[in-house]
Amino acid sequence: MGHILIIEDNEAVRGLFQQVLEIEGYSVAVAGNGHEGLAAAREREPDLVITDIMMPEMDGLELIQRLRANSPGLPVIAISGGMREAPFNFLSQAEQMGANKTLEKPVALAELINAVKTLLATA
Amino acid sequence: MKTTASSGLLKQMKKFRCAGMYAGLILILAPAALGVGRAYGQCTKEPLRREPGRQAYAATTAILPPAARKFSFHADDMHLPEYRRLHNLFFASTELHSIKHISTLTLVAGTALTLLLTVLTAVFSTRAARLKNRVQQRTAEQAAVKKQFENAFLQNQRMDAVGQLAGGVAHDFNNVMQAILGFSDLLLRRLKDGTPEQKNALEIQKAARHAAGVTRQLLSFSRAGPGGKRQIDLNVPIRETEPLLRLLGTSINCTFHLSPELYPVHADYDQIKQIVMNLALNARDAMPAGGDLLIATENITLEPEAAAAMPAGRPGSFVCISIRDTGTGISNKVKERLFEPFFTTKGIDQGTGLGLAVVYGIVKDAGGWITILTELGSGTTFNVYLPADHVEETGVNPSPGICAVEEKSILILSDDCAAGSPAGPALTSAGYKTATVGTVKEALQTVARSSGFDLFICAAALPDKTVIELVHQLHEKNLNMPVLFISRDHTPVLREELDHNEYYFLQKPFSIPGLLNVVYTALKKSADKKDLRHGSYSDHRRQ
Repeated sequence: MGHILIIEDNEAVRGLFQQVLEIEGYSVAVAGNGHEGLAAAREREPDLVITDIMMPEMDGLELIQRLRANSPGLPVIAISGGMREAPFNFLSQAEQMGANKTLEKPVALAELINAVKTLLATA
Repeated sequence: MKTTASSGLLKQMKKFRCAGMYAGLILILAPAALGVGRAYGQCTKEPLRREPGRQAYAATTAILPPAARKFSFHADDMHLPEYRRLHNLFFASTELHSIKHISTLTLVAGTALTLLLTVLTAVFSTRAARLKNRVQQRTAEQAAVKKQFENAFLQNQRMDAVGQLAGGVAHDFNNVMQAILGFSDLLLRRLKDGTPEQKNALEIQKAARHAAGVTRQLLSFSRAGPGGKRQIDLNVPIRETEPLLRLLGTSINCTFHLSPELYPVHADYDQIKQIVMNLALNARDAMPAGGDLLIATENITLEPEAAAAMPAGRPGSFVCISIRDTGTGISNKVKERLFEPFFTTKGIDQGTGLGLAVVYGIVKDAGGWITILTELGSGTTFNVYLPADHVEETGVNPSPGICAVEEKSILILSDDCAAGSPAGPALTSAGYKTATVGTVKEALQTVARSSGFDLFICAAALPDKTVIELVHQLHEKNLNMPVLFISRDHTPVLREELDHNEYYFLQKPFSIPGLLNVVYTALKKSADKKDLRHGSYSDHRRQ
């Protein structure tokens, strides 16, 4: 089915996404920030990454840049719940950094699953 | 007033008798003989004695209101009871109505002399009263202006604090909403249709969706940063709102007065529509029985004096969007809290109290401000001032696709080269020649080897003193080279540099168009300065 890496600092959301994708039959690894995400990606190369944007230590934008440097073809879904400081439009930033798909929180689970399926099918 | 007082006094003149004629004479003659200023100057500190001259000074001073306020009579110096009465009379007569005290003065002078004295006093008193009123009025005006600015400052601070709080809350709230909606969704997958448990779970989802909608509006209020801003003609998005505004109701007569040839404005296209829609909806609610709604745009150039009259105003060129209604007007009490999130005068479920808060957030983010002209029962005008973006006027087009980069070379210092700073590749793709270095030492070596750079970009994560020293060294070699700092935060060192120099600053994370825009502007302005100087040399040569 494919291995998905979820990088999300909110434990509840992380658990939710993990549960949903595991129900769908995917193998899932999770990380709480960009640094942990990179380490997890090195440990086992994912087929797709789902990342939050606002995270401590290393945010999603920087993570996407670094992932892109090593794996240009890796599908990335960026999900954001908003912002604390400028700039507002994080999801556009994520797209410019190379995210294949951006979703706004709260995202419907069906929408998330569809995005995952579509990207894995076209990867 | 003077006529009434004089005629009243004429009737009393016959009652006047004895003691103090000399005082009256002195009063009439002293101002002319001694001079007002001199009299004041001499009597301010010297104690008063029985000498006629001294008394004259004191009396003269007493009828000069501004000066009289300062002179220093001392009770011990006033030996003559008549003089004391005279002093009290004139000192108190800075108001016209105090002329009635003249009846307490016992004069032996004839009616004419007393009348003359009275008229003289009345004239002085009138002038004094006028002056006093003017001073009081001016003082009150100044106090009101000061209060207005203090209130605006406090309001601004309060809104900033609320905005930051709202932004933080909204972000966390969306995560909470994600969990509630997501887990309830998972729950619903296992629940059978039509069961009470399923209905309850659906109610949870419905409430969470509503909360998510409110959160989205909160984010709009606290937004900051570039977002989707670009140079636009405000008339275009405003015209797009027209079909929607026609739906406000048949009782609302909506008119557009959009001035042609508006200055361009750097703003988010959709946000401008949101401003107009939110203000128009507010206007509709202020006109429950119907009325006129005018939406107008015009160019405004504010001189310093005019700008100072607005608490948030500043001089310069602006485009003003006016939304005027003929509704109920807004009370001062409501006006003070109008832009606060969740503040609403509407009934439960009729408004979230976020519409105007969102407008406030958008306008502030665009570098503008809002003024409100309102009168209870007559209507309200919201004037939204947005700064004009004159880039096009000077022939600069910020669109990266058509930038005349002309082989410009850019030196980039990035202490995170391994991560692949997006600045270098983006600028190279746009046609610039770039050299990226990772340390200050490398930067100096690169500069030494090169024939010079047109722009220096410092993309260090945390610019410290060594980086700033490098900037200074590069400036010594090429005074005109613009400098662009790209950083996530303002370090104290960087903040000081930015405060004292004309450096450019781009906050991380940045968009590629945003980077290209600021780079283009920096290079263009630098080139314009060079052209100016070269032009001067050419003229000299031609001469």
